[in-house]
Order: sequence, then C-alpha cells, then structure tokens
Amino acid sequence: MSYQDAEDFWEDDSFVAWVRQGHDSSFWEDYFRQHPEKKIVAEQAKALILAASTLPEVRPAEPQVDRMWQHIERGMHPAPPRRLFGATGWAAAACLLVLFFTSFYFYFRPRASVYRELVSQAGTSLLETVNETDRTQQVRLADGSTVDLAPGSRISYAADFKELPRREVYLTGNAFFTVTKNPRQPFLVYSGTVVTKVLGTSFSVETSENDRQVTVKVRTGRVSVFSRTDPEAEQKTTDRQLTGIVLTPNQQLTFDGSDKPAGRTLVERPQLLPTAATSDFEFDNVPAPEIFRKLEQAYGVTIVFDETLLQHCRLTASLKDESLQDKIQLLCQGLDARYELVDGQIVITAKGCSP
Amino acid sequence: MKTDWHTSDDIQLWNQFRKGDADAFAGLYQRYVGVLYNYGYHFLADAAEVEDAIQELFIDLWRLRENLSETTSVKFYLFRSLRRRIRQVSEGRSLTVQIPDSPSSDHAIPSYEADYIFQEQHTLDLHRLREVLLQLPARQHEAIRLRFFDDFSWEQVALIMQMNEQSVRNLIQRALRKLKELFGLLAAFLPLLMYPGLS
Repeated sequence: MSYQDAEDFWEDDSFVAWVRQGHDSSFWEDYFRQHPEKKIVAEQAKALILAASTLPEVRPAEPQVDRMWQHIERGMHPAPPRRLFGATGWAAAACLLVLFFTSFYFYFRPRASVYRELVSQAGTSLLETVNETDRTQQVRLADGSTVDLAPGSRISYAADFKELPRREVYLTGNAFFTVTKNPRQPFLVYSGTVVTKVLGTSFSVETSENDRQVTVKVRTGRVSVFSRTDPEAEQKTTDRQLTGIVLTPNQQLTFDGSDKPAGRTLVERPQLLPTAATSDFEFDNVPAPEIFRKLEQAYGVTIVFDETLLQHCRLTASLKDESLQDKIQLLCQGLDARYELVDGQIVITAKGCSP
Repeated sequence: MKTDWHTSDDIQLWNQFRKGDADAFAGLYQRYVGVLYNYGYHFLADAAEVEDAIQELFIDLWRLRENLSETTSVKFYLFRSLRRRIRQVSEGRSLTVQIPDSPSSDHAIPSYEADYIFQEQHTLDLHRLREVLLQLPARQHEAIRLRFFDDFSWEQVALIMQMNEQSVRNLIQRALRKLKELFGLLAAFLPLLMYPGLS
C-alpha cells in the first residue's frame, strides 16, 4: 500500500493501532526509515488520532449509575400481572397507558438543549448529576464547594478541578451554590446564555424550562454576571477580577433571553448575612444615618440617603422579624420619608430634621 | 458460581449472562454504562433520552437473553443496539430535525472560530485540535469518535452508523478536508506536534 495523504494513514488499522497502543512498532519504524518523506503526513494523521482518542468524555456520576441499574433491575423482574379481567385486557390497558405517558413525556418534556450543547463541547471530561428525587439534593464538588440541586435539575462538573484554570460547572434547572474561596481559580456557572462568575460566595441560579430565562440571586459575597454572547465574554471569563455586572448580597438579576439583562433588583426577601451580629435591632433615640448603616452591614445591601439632611433625625424603634423592606418602611414612616429600589439599592428620599 | 466482572473477559461474561447469570449481567452493565452514556450523549439525543435508552436496552437484553447468540465483540453489539434504539425513538417522535451531512453543513463552523484558531496558531496544541474536532458536523465527529476514541474498526463504525464503508470513508475525507481548512495547512503547526516515535 502506498501512503499519499493523512487519510491513507488514518484508514490503515495497523497505523492506528501503532499510534494508539504502540502495536506493530518495528514495521512502522522500518517504514519511516525507508520513507522519510512520508513523515510529515504521518505526523498529521498521528496528531489527529491522538487528539481524537483523548476527546472529552461525559460520564454519569456513581449515584446515577446506581439509579439506572435499579430501574433495569425492576424491569428484569416485572411483577406478575393480577388477574382482574384477564391478562390480555390488562396488557392492552397497560400499552395504552404507556403510550399515552411516553408521548406526553417526549412532547412536553423541557428540552435543555443549550445545556446539552455546552456540556458536549466542554474541553474536559465531566461528571453529571441529575436530581430525579422530589427534594433538594446536595452535590459536593472536588474543591469542597457544595451545590443544592433542586428537583428535576441537572449539573455537570469536572471530577477534579486541580489541573484546570477555572472551576466551571454547567446547570439546567435551579441550584444554590456555596463556593469555597479561591481567587486564583474563579468559579463559573454556565446556564442558558448566562455566565455567573464568583471567587467564593453563595448564590443561587434559576433557569426556566427552556434555559432561556436565567435569574441569579446572591446570598453572600460578590458575583459577576455576563452573557455568553457578550463580545468581551472571553476576557470576563479569564480575568482575575470580577468585571461585568457585579451583584452584591441580596441583589438579583434576570436575563430573559435577549442580550440585555433587566436591571439589578433586590431579592424578594433579603436575608441577613451569616456574619450579621444580631437579628434584633433595638434603637433608642439613635441618629437615622447610624440605623441605616447598621442595616446595610447586616444585610450587605446599599442604602442611599443624604447624610447631612438626616443627621439630626433621631429614631426609637424595635425591629426584629420584619422583612428588610418592612423595616425600611417603618423607619421611613418615622422620618416622614419614602424609599424606592433603584438598581438593587434602597434609595431614601426625606425632608430631614432641624437640629 | 459467582462471576467476578473485574477479571472476566467480555465473552465469558456474555456467555454466563446468556445462561441467566445476573451477576455477569450486572458486570456487563458496570463495564459499559459509562462509554455508552458518553457515546449517546454526544450524538444521539438529550441526556434523559440516553438514560432511558440505556435502561431499555439492558432490560430487553435480559428478557431476550435466551435468544441472543454468541458475539465476537460485546462492545460493538451494545453500541449498535443503543444507536438503533435511539434512532427509533427520535424518528418515531419526528420532532428532532436531522441536520443532513451535506456539504453546506460543513460550513457550520462560525468564521470567528476559524479566525480565533488562526490567530492562536502559534500556541496550537492537542487541546486546540480537540476543540476543532468537537466543532465538526455531527456525523463526521461521530465517525471519528467511534474509530479513534472508542476504538472500533472502520468496518464496525460503518455497521454501527448503518452506512456502507465507502460512505464512511467519504465522511472521513470531508472531515479531514475541513480540519485542514481550519488550520490552513496542517503542516503549519507540525513543529509543535513532534511526538517521539516518528522523529
């Protein structure tokens, strides 16, 4: 056989076996000694074979393998049919039912196509966990981060992040992330068209059924969010800093599938930071700016107010289980002020008090 | 007798399983579920469908075990059965739009991708090559993966993909042309890809 082109080497089983496993080595060593001019094309064929034989893999995680096996075992030993109105009648009924449910299942099941595309093009091998139970399932990643995966959601991740420049995971559905701090290895969540990037924090990502709408809510720390189609996405992914739209605790951002996200807002029910000293706020004739600063620290939110206008306003209040918004509302009543939410911040408008 | 699937070879497990040995059957599942999932995931359907298909494949194998014949390659048998099964599902449903492997779909790679590759040519390595392989049209990628990743012979690749061998050859030639086009001349990055063995 004469070898003209890389194709000829590709098609030769003995060449492929030699590249993959080193079989038949003396034959090929001799061949290239006699035909040194063939080395270039052979090298091309070899590089491609090596690249193809080390393509990334997607494998089911151990619990998923076990769950699938349980399903198979149930199928291996079907329960004997109960004779109520004869075996044939039941079989017909069962067929109908199965047909009905499977067609519904196939037609109406959400198609997580963006997720699938991302996972199959990932540059590394991934493990996948699917939560098919009806309660939240915790997934522990190799770096110690945890993911609380909502029912019906799936996530893919590398078994080990050690050799990788970034910790990258792929999500469809909803999950709450608690990410261990490692500024040198940013943590990125890919969901629909949205990339959420953090250095170490906790936050949730919620994707709608078709992966089009994505909402990111931050519990602690800082998170940057950008679109995969952002012209600077590459830069934002690799950057050591958090760039793009940065979310701070109790802020959320929704992408609705168009390139431009809606503005930042506060989450519906802001939570106290884990670092908050207390959940009881007792104020006895305290200047209003001091009260707002206490709340800012406790919730990690930004409250915008006019320091000089409010410096002479003093309030006495006992705040405890109310939501943050109710607390602010109560304080505003005492100040004859009002508040609004602008870009995820609380903005207070007041007349002020005379000294 | 209990079969230890870690040490037994495929044919031994297969024959034990055909006689009704559930441990041997579990061994075959453990041995192949990962590669089957990986194969299905990349080409055939969404993840849940791949799971369903693998489960049904194994349930049917068990139910029909007495009718199964000997085989020379268990892996080949399983891959071919899985592909057929998922094809049936997707055709019966006829919701998936099949992208034909026509010359026009060869241009499915966005041009910025190619630009990026050219620009990065000096740092080209196996990693980049892999990325480009992943961008090939689905059937070209499938043939390459079956041959070089899953280590089937060209003849087996053709049988799994239900094509004749010549069509597989044509597919491969198109893939190679595409790869060359993407890299300019492959030779451009060769100095960086010298592996021991040829030089």
